[in-house]
Amino acid sequence: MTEPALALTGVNKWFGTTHVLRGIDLVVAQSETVVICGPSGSGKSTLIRCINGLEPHQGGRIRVNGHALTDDPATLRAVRRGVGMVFQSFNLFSHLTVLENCTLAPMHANGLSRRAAEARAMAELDRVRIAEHARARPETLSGGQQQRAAIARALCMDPAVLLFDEPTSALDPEMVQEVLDAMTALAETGTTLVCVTHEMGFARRVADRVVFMDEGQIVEIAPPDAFFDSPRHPRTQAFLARVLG
Amino acid sequence: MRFVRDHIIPPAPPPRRAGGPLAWMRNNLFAGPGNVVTTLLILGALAWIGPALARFLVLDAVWTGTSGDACRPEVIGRPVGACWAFIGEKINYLAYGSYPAAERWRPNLFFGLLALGAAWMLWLGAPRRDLGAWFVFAILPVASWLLLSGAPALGLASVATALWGGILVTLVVSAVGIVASLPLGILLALGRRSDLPVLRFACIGFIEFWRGVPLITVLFMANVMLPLFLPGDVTVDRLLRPLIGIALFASAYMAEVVRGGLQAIPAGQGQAALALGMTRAQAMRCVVLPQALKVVVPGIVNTLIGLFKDTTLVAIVGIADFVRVLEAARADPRWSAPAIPATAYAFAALFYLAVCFSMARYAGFIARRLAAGDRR
Ligand SMILES: Nc1ncnc2c1ncn2[C@@H]1O[C@H](COP(=O)(O)OP(=O)(O)OP(=O)(O)O)[C@@H](O)[C@H]1O
Ligand SMILES: [Mg+2]
Repeated sequence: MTEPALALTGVNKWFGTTHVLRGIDLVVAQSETVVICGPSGSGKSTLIRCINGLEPHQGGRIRVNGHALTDDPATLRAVRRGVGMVFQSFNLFSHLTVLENCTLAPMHANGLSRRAAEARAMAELDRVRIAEHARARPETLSGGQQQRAAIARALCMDPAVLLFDEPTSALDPEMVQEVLDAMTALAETGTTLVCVTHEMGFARRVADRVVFMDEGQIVEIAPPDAFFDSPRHPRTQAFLARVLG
Repeated sequence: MRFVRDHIIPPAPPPRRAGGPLAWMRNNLFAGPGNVVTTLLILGALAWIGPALARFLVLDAVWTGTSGDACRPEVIGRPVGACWAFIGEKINYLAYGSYPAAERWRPNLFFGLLALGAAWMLWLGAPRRDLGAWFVFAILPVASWLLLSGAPALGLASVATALWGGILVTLVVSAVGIVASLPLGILLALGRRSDLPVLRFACIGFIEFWRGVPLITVLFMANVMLPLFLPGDVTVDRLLRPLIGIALFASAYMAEVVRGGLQAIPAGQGQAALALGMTRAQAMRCVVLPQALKVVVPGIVNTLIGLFKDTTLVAIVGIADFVRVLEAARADPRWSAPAIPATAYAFAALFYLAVCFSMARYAGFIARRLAAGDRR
């Protein structure tokens, strides 16, 4: 059996005295697409940020591509090189061009030459269809273009897993689709995706499984059809009733 | 009720505003009673100061002469303003102090290197600014020291620092303060945000100590106390002592400016770098610090302006900086005339004003460029 992309066992996390992750168990297989949803404050972002060690967790185990996540800096970096992250607010480096955004980490963290890093970056920018903006500053692009550039930046590190934290929440409605299209294309090429989103249409079409979180715990996991058509837990039912109207 | 537009309005030119200088004056200078009073008060003050300044600096000024007599009203029979002849005769002394005349090409070369370094750093479009940083922060200090104090091995005669003076010393002190305080200030600001409590508290203690002590006290301390901290047989040059004091003092202020910049950068920038697998040092050096320093360029320049003016205080510990040399020059009995002190101080004021005003204009230019870059 191959190693799962992600394996979380009994993960606990506190902010001060607030218990924000309460015994999270989740296994994500290679090439799987998992959508995480749940009400605000349920701990979705925190969970995502624990997976690449941006937040330390305080109990339980996290394994990423076979590496156990510890707080040792070298291990953290090894894990992060294999895990791409796309933020709600893009977080493109605003003093660099789009192309430089994409080559910075490959050159510094992976030791690629500039030439190799740029070739790779142009390929990834082309894949998300913004290669013509490679020399532009991030702030001159639209929100949707910026988020696609951020996806390309993550792809340049050749990650085995991509984490998305509400990648479309900061976008105007007409730009949501172009970002979702880029994510759909990634899911179809077999990248492992873990995606926090409120885009229920995307979840239904693209996800292999949907995870519903509430109050720091996983309440229900189901394939999308079952999840949306016959949710079991009353909290899931209440949540879906609210978001689907 | 329903509305459907039946014709599209074509674009029209904007309404014409009343033009002409009269309309401008009515709108900008005399728009209301308060405005009229303010305008008149300020124009009155200008009418009072302007002509007096022009008379002193230019119209009544004496441009040539070989002694104080040329600048005495009773001798030349007209009112006397500034005695520029005095500055003209003393200019070499004001520029170099007692630096041997035959070796003055060395300070001149130093001025040139300094100008090159400044231009390389300040001109944003300059080629290879990374090399420029090496030049300014590594090569320039060593080269200048060898050049000015001498290196017998290289065939440069030694010139004791006691002979250095004037604008040379003022620029040396300022340059040392600037070149040392930027990197030290950045290190201190980073240390202040460190996760290591010992390092953090050491940096906070250092910064607060130097910020809490007046510069005059620092200079006296450096002069008197520095030797106490060193083994008995090590002597520190008398110019080097205040230089060290000023460098540390300026670093503390610079650290606070840089810290403000670090705080202004959103946490997501550093997190994005970490999430890509970069080390914390790389994230700081390649992502956070460049953005933070850009934000605080105006603050840095303000600090440097303050530093440049504060360097006059080294005169107190016996260093012959520009102001002290000016004082010495005006004590020359051959040039005793009532106009001399005012001339000397006017010259000092013009010198400091020119340098500080240029720096302020540069900071303003950078701030406008940054603001233009931030606009969407
Ligand atoms: N840095 C922090 N310090 C203290 N508490 C925090 C911090 N970050 C998050 N929290 C708390 O942890 C809980 C979970 O937050 P989290 O951001 O993970 O929720 P979320 O599910 O992503 O919500 P949203 O949909 O609003 O993004 C919330 O109660 C939040 O207030
Ligand atoms: Mg969130």
